[in-house]
Amino acid sequence: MSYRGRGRGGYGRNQFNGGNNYSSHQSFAAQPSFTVEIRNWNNASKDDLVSFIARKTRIKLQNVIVDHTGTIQATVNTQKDATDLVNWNGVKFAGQSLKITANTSTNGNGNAGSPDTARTIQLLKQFLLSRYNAEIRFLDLTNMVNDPTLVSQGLFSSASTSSKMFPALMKLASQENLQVDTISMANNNINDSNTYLSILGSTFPRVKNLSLQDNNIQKVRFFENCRHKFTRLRELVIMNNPLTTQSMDRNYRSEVIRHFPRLIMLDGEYVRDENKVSTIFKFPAPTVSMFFENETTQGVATNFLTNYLKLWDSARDQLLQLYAPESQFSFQIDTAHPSPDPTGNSTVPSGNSWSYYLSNSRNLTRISNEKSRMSRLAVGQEQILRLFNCLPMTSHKLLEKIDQFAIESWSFPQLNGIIVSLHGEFEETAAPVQPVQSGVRSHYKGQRSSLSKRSFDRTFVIVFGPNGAMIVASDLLLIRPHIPTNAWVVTKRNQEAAVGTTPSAAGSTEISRTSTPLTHPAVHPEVPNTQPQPTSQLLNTNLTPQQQELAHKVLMETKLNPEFTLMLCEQSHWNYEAAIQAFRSSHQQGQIPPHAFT
Amino acid sequence: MNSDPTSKIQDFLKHILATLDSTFIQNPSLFNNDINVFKARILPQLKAQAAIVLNGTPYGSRTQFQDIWFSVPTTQHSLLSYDAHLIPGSGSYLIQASLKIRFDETGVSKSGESCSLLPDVPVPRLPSASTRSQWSPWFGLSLTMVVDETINTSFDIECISSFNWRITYIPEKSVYEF
Repeated sequence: MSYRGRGRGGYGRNQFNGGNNYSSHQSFAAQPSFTVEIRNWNNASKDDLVSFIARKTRIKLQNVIVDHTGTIQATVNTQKDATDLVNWNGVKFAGQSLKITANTSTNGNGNAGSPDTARTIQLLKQFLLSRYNAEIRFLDLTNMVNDPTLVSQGLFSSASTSSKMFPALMKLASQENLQVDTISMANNNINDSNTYLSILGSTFPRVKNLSLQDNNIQKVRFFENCRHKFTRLRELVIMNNPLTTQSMDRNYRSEVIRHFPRLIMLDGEYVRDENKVSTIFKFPAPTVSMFFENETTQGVATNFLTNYLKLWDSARDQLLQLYAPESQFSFQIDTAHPSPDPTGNSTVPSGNSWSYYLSNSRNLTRISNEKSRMSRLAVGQEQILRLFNCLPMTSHKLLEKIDQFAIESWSFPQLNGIIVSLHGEFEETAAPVQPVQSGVRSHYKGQRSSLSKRSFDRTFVIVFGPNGAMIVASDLLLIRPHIPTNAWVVTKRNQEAAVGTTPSAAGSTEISRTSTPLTHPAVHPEVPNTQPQPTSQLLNTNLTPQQQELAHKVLMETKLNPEFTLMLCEQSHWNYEAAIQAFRSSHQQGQIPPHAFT
Repeated sequence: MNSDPTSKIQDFLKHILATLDSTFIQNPSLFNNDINVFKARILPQLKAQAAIVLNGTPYGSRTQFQDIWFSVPTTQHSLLSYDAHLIPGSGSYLIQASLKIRFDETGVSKSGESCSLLPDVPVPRLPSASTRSQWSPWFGLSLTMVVDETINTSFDIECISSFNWRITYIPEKSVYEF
């Protein structure tokens, strides 16, 4: 069962342990180093490139690695070497023009970091990339605390350096934009006061498989700071920790899984029903950005909105012809709407000032006085125009950026009209035409509000006059802090995956969506689960590194689940070709049950 | 228009949101221990054939909505802002509200069904007992409704003819998905 003995083994990492990549690290100690990146070199080998550069420029590249994007990362000894090398940008090599840049991302702000810092960062980056397998999206940090290179550079020599090392490593992982499904943190002396896990969760919140095997975790409390951190974790391995080996009962499992709502498998055992998890954490109604009750509604709504917003942005007073003596308009601001940074209210930038809106906002949760309520409601053209003119000038990009908007439109049989609801964003482009109204001057106190982006919801009740002309009977506008639209953009993707609809092209000049009559309830197509099945169930099995690698290859090729993959590998005596052949033959004969697949 | 016709709307909104946020499992006896009774008390103010739109997807009847909502984990709605117009000649209010909502992430449904395959821990060791909700971060929500003027006499009548529920913001760190 022990994985400890072969801790630094698996996943083809052997080549890096004490191997050539670190052979020159001794030289780091003696002199500073500077990082360069080279692209467009791939027609020849890495060694060819290094020789070519040495020949052509008399500059020696050191610590040469190829990152997961195919870019060469290397160091040179002096800033001058780095600058000289960049001057060779565009030189022909193996039929392509080399792209050479001095890397400024490693220390965050160009040359501001000390050479020592740059060297450490380069070292960490090399380590990180050497432990990353892009193909299976696996970051193997097993036993990093004993990694010979990191240890020899003193990165674990004191509590202070080791506490900085991991956050730095994770920052690099973010900068490198590593795509990771599986992480092994096995065998790293992690104890209950260690904070690696929390940092890991912030860096990779969507990781699916995690091993913490062979550590020193004693109490369930260790997992408490993981709340909201591992929202997609499916499999966790914590075997060979005191928590699991010294527990009198196995109740710790129920407590551990509470911290990981989507956890299905703990130490190789199923702990939740995966189908139930998928169902309960997914809103049952598919999200669609546009809904029109029928073609008539669609025609009226799209025509109305495009023309209305055009005039709202350019000539607001011309909209008055749509309003009748009984028409009503009011607006409200919701400054507390959830947003990505709800704690950011300590330093509200001036651009987020609501001073143009405050004095007339009709947020009825905050205004109980009847007179105030009624004074903020505009009835009839004159009052409505006055209120319009209190609002900043705006720009709505409805046609240019249709993805940022959502529309619902349905009939309003009470008056034989329709209701149109629009959600989206606008940009304030100029101060209001008439920002100060009599009686509310004190709210402005002469301060000028800067302009910014806002999000909004707006609902119109449209009825038809005797000659068929549109009349806005009611117009409710709600303005909230700007948030990047993710609510319908994200889910539109799901919808496309489910029913194969075509996304509307940006810049489209018409709004066209499929309308669904209310009388025909929507069908809820099952969204196919396209996420690859995690592979880390192989992590806790008793395999040699070579066997693990082979099993991963077979799993990726066959899409069998880990259990069946292992069965197949064993039956094929760990021969890849034989395994694939056996799989194909059984599959053709229909001998493989559906549940064998991921 | 001399007096404020919207004075009862806030209480009405709180009243109906409570029916959306209720759970069966916390007090089954309130519903005669009958799931169907519980379901029927989810937003009973909807008219039987109300126009219901959830995130752009239409549902044509109250019972359909109740089935859908029953399968959503326990929620908590919180009203942030609203405004309303009484539309002359229609006997109805148009209400536009802005809310936040969060979802229970324990993996237990409103009816008490759990995703867990592990036996219940008899005595939870932690103060936050396992039966309590674990809330997701807050989501943003926009709610637009058409409601009969009759709410001024009673909240417990079928009075909602349109119900348009639209999520406006999804927090990055939520387990719950749309």
